[in-house]
Amino acid sequence: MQVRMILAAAVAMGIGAQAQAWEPEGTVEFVVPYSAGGGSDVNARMLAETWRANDIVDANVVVLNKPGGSGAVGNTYAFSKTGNPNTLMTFIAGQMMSTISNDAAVKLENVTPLATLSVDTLVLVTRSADDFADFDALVAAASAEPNSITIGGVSRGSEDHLVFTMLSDSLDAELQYVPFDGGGDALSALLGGHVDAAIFNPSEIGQQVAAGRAHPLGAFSEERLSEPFDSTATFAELGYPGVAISLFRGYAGPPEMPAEAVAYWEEKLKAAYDTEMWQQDYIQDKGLVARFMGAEESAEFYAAEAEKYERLLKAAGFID
Amino acid sequence: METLLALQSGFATSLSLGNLGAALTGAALGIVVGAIPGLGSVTGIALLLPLTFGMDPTTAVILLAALYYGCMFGGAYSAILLNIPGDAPAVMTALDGYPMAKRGEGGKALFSANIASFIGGTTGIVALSFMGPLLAEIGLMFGPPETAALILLALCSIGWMLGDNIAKGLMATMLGILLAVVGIGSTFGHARFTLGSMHLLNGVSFIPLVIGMFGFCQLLEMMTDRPKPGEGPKQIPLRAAIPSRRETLRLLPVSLRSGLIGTLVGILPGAGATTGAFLSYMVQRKIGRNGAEMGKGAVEGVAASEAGNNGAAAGSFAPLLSLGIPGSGTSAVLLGGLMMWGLQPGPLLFATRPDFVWGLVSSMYIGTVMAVIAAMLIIPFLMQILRIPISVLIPVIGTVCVFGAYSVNGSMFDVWLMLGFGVAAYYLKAADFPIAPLILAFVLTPRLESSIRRSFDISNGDPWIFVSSPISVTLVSVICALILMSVVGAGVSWMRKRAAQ
Amino acid sequence: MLSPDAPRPPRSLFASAVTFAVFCFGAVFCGFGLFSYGFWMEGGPGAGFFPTVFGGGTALLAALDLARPAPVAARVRLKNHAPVIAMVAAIALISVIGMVPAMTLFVLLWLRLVERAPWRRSILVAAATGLSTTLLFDVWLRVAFPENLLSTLF
Repeated sequence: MQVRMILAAAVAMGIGAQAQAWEPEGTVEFVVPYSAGGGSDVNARMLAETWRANDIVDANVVVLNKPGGSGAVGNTYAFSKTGNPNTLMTFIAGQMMSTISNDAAVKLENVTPLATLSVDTLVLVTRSADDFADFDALVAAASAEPNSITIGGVSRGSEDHLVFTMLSDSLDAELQYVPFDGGGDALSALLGGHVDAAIFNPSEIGQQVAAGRAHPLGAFSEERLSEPFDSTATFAELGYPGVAISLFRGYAGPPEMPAEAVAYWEEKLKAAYDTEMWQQDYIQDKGLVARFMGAEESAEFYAAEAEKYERLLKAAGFID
Repeated sequence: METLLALQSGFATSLSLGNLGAALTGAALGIVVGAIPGLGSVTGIALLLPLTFGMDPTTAVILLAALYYGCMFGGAYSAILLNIPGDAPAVMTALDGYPMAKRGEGGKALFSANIASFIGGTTGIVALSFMGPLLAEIGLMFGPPETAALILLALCSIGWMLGDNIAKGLMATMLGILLAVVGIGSTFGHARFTLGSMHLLNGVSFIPLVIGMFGFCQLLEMMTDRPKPGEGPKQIPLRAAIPSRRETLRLLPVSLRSGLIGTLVGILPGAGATTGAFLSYMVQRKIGRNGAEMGKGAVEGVAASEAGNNGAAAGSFAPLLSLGIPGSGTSAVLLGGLMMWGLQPGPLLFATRPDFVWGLVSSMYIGTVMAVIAAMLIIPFLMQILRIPISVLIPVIGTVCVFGAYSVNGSMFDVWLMLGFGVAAYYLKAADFPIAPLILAFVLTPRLESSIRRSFDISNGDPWIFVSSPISVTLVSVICALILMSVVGAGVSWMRKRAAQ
Repeated sequence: MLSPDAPRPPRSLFASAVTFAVFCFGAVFCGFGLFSYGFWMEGGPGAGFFPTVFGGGTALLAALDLARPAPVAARVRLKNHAPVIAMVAAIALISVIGMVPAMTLFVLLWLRLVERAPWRRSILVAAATGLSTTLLFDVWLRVAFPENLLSTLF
């Protein structure tokens, strides 16, 4: 009996010591399943910079863009690194949603949630107030000629596509959705006037709005956002209750990531969350809502969200 | 004038002995990384980034810019020496560079490639410094239909490289298109032709494809087509390989023109260096004096391709710096390193952080100068590779192919894929199918397909969108003219043949 | 190039076989594009549009080419397959003894057995290959080499 207890203790200690000792070796790949310049890309680069500047993570963290297939390409890439403790991935609501709408091979069950650091939302913007002064003007134009108003967004079956459908369904007018490969592509199409309006994360478009090169029409958030969107009405305020979305921004590892690696990254993500740099330069500057959830809590939250998206996507007719 | 002053202050902060040393180191490292097939500027910058953390930000950016240009320079080496293009734009370089090397003029091809890279890159950087914001605005005029038309134009111009058997050339082009649709399409979001394999969900990777179809296929041909000992082409000595002043002058107009075309294509969202190199090459073939020789080992071909892709690399910075739109791939690579300056890419960058913008632009000048100096020092050593007997070269190239295919994605699947494509290309070539059109079609297709679909989404199913702007009308007219010309040309030569009989 | 009055060599069976393979490849893409991915959807080209058009085009041209009596001289030789066989063996060996040892062994054996180079030279080249790949990919670039039997055992 005693022997067994000592053995168990020894094993437990061994595991404990291992968990403490584990450190990433060589280069850590930080996979971003979207193209450079998009919301996830900025997030990953900012996080890597926060880790580096505050001496939180010593390893060399390299951001790797794997865009395409509504995030499925990046998911699949991370999946191909099964069991690898040196691979991280940004994991966001839209990415999870596309696995549902595309019935992708790699789903939420196939990744290891690590933590969630913030909640994001979306805004609808047009090129300038001369095109459409406000959302009502856009609706009026759309009613005059069905499907004449084009709205750009990233990918088919994504969160952009979902809020588009939610909005479109609550209007009498028909809008046309145009999927792009990434946020950068959608941005240049909007600035070039090739689409009438486009859906972005506030962080993707904030600089353009501040410079007067884009004009926000409405926010898909529950509450008003901070500058430069402080005067942008939410869609609930505009008379479309329920047209809102809260997008988590979290991180995941490949399937079967060793437990000690999960613990390591969870701790490092919390450490980054607690820095002033992260709170100031990322959360505040990008107009996000800070919210920390650990690995376990994130896993539960994601599962609940996945269920919700499945319901919404079914109601919208994306999947059957 | 204002630009000159701003540039001067940029140089004032960036010119120092230490910075120049950093630039030379970065350029040399970049050349090595760029020359290894399967590795490129992404790996290079990732490697060097941790080293720059302790550095002064200016020094760090100069180091990275030099590394970036070094990679662009080095990319031509494996294309010329081994017929293994390390990245997509280098495919065009291999078309003329490798035949030159086979003739014993490899050294000349290397020097010319880098001189052209330098001129083309500098053209691009000058255009960027004086007209950056303007160029970015021009880029915005290209929406999905214009992009689709431009890529279609590039695709149509593959025509001339179809070889003697036009039907087989066309089939090869279409095989490239078919290989490119494998995987999850960007616009459709579901998998095509993946055979249930997870590895094919990402699509066929470019590097294993090109290493297999160029490098490994070459190796198979070397088994029988090798010259007997002592009979091979005489290698020209180093002294003769260095281009004379007259030869350099001959390269100048090609490089300037190609650099300019490259820059203009580079500013377009997503068109990239490949389309730039490709269109420069095509224009050179159409209007250059030596057009018919191109593809068989003309120095102008190497120059057009290299100047074109370096110009495009500089051009892709215009939308990033003046509008905050990262042009795909190339400019995004540097972004990671630039975040250290607290950079917020956006339309206000020129106004709020002129020190950053001009510091970067001036380090691009320094980077490209250092890259050309480093290249001139390295090439004489590289020329020794040309002296290695083929019997030794065969297993070594085999090893390079395996390591190159593996290190892009770190996947053994890619190595097997490389081998399979190599054998397939060998059979196809033996049956008279050309390989170059297949590779180029493969590179151009994904963007073409998504741009076409997007145009229809925008126009709500109306095909007239493809002729709805002056740019697209022009491009579509050029495409129609090209097709008409080749049809008429084929008809005329057929009639002549009949008449001769 | 053949002069018009030279006797035409018989059509190469090999070239026909390759063209037939190309025909099958195109036909498969065309079929799947048309019937399972959707040729036209929501007022624009669907996911099956490119495969159908270009797969169909490939198959059509290949069929025309097969029907044409044009001669094609095959240049494929059995000897050229030696590197393929050696390569398959070498790549298979990677999963047993690791990437650098497998490729070093490949270079050594190829030089000695196929090229009949003297031992001294074979060992020298193989050693240089092994050393430079180790330095470049392992020490400097820190590429994670594929797992192999040896590394799992020890």
